[in-house]
This record gives sequence, C-alpha cells and structure tokens, in this order.
Amino acid sequence: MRWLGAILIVLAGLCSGAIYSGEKKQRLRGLEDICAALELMSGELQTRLSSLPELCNELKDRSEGAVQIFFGNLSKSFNRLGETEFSSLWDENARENLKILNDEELRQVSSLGKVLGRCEVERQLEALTSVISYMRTSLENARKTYPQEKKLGLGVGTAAALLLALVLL
Amino acid sequence: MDGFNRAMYMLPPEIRQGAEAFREAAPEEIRLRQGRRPTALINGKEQEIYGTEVTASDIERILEKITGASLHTAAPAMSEGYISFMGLRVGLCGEGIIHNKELKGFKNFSSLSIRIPKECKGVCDSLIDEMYFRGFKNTLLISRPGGGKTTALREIIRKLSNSGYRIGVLDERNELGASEGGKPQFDLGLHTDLISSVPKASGAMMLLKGMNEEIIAMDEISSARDISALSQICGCGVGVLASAHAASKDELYMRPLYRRVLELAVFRYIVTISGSGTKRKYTAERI
Repeated sequence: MRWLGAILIVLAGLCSGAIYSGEKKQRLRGLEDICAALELMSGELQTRLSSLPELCNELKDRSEGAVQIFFGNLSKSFNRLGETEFSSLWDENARENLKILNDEELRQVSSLGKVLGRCEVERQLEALTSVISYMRTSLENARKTYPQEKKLGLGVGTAAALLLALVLL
Repeated sequence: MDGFNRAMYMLPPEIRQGAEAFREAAPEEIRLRQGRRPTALINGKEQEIYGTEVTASDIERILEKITGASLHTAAPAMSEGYISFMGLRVGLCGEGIIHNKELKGFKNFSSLSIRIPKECKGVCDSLIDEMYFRGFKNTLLISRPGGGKTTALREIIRKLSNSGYRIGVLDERNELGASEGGKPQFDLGLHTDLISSVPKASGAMMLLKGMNEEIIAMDEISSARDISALSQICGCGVGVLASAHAASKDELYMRPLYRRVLELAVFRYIVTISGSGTKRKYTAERI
C-alpha cells in the first residue's frame, strides 16, 4: 500500500511537471499565432485597406487557439459598436482571451485598440510594427527558454515528488 | 428602414432616447456639437434635443458605428468632409489631417451633421409636366444647401424613368439611391441604372460607353472634376439632369465654376427651389 502511495505521488509530480511545460508550449504557440495574426493584419491594412470587421473575420479563420477565440469574440462584439468604443471592446477581449500573455505583452496588444481604425493607415502600421517587434522579441525569448523550462518543469516536479515519497516511506 | 430609423441606428443610446421624441416632426438633420446639446433641424430651424451634452466619446462612437471602427476606409469621402452611411450623409467638422499639403481627413471631431433624406413622391409633378411636355430638356436644379435639391432630383428621375426614359444616375455620395447591396433604397423608377460611390467624371464615361442611357443625372456639381464630367456628357446626344448649390440664378453667375457651367450652355432649364420643409416652392426658368 505504501509503495502504491509512493508511485501515485511520483506520478502526480510528473503530471504537474508535464502540465507546467504544456503551459509553456501553449504560450509559445500563442505568441507565434499572435505574431502571425498581427503581421497578416498589417499586410492587409497596407495592401487592401481592409476594414476591421473584415480583418477580424479573416484572422478568426486563419488563427488557432486563444488568438482564434480572441478574434472570433471581437468579431461578435462589433454589434456593440456605437454603445462601446472599439478600444474598450479590443481591450476587454484581449484581457479575457489572451491569458497566455504576460502583463507587459497584454499592455502592448491592448494599446493597439486605441490606434487601429482611428488614425491614418501609416500610423496604424507604425503601431502594429512596434507591437509585432515587441511580440517577436518575446517569442524569441520564449523559444530560447522553452527547452530549459520543459526540463525544469518535469525535473522539479519529479524530484519533489520522489523526495516526498521517500520522506513518507 | 426609413431615413429616421437609419439615423437613430447610428446614434448612441443616450442621444437616441431624446431624438426619438422628434420622430413625428420628421427632422431634416440631427446635429451634434461637442459640449452642446444635440439638435434636430425641423423646417429650417434647430430644436434642442432633450438629454445630455454631446461628448467627444459620443462622436467617436457614431463614427466607429458608421465605419465599422475603420475610419481609414472612409478616408476619400472624409477628405471631402462627409461620410455616407446607409444612404445618409454625415457631415464632419474637426481638425484636418494634412499630408503632403493635401487634406486626408479629420481628427478630434467637433461636430457632426446627420442629414436624413426623405422620399416625397409627387412633390414636383406639375413642374415636371410643365417643363417636359415636349420631351426632356437639360435641367439644373439649384437651392441653398439642405434646400431639397436631392429630393427633387430623385423625384424628377423617378417620374422621367417611369415615363420610359433610360436614366443613368451618378450617385457619388450614395444619397440619391442610398444603394445597399446593389439595391437602391429609394424608388428611382423603372428604367434607372445607378452607379454609386464613384467620382462623377469616371462614372460618366462608364454610363456613356456601357449603358446607352438617354439621360444622365448627377447630384451636386461642386468641383472642376464635376464640370469635366458634364462636358464629357454634353455633345454626346445624352440629356443631363443635375443639381448645384446656389440660392438663385444670380448666385450661380457669382461663382466662376458655375459661370463656366452656364457658359457651356448645357442647360435649358434652371429650377430654383426656395422655402423649407413642407413650404418648398419650385420655379422653372427657361434659359
């Protein structure tokens, strides 16, 4: 019975490590998706002068995961325009759906809501470029640290569980 | 959806509530100025709409509603001082954005004027019968801004079209037909073809080359490009029906642009619209 308990503790440690590294993987994918989406947005604005409802619809179809949910919900919330300013809708949706981002990344993405659709295209593109550049740096950092974080998560989880099992035995 | 409902649709709820009280009075315009109460223009006079003062956020929200939060898509029209939305013209005031010495649009908007178009069938029937009993003659409609030119022009187009004329309409500001999804929201008659949101000069060539029209109608000749559209049409055997801003024929002569129009000797009739609201008077003068 003791041994069964110890095995369960070790398994729980392994699982928590796996969950931790899974979250890191999810964040990595989210950052990749958001960079791709913002780059697509910038291109569409530059070449086709697309409207934001068109852009959000397109990005909803071409993204995955949290970014897809973000643009999907944003598309739906366009019917609230006139009652709520676009910047609030953008900010609200970003906070609700882009939980993979840290506070500063979220602040950067939220700041786009005050520029998109409001200013001349050139200024919108400048703002997008600046946020894309910030998110690219975050993505590069996340890519660099991911293998270590993955090992760390699994290692620490398993080691802590082993230690606890040994103590309890 | 009629004009008033379309105007209500674009207003923020706080202003809409007060403006609804004016539904029966059928206002010609709803005007919003930052820091002031909104007003409804009825029979040429502004009446205050009960409620709060207009804020910058109210104006922003209206603009976001009508452009889908994409002001950049309305930039060409904004540089002319208006945005068209569902056949309503929203006039803009604010700080101009100048790029390469060219007005690109506005920011920090201070005022909006939502013009509500009306369909007044039969409003100038007797005038039409009097002018065209021997066939259509090129006609220019004039009045002060907001004087009913577009309504009268729409009526003449509808009546002539229903009497068998093929009419091509150059609806640059999408006010004459208020086309939505290719379907005009106003009755422009049985034999009318509509080109909307295209500059008059380009549209004129399209109608001439592609549509074999008998009459080409256009609203508000106001620039040298519009005169160029006119000069392209005349001399091709196609009739012209147009409108221009001027309170009288004398005022037409005061502006070099319109003097040029008169010198082209295109028009046989000038119809002056005076008065306001239900008391409009239509006077046709042969030239």
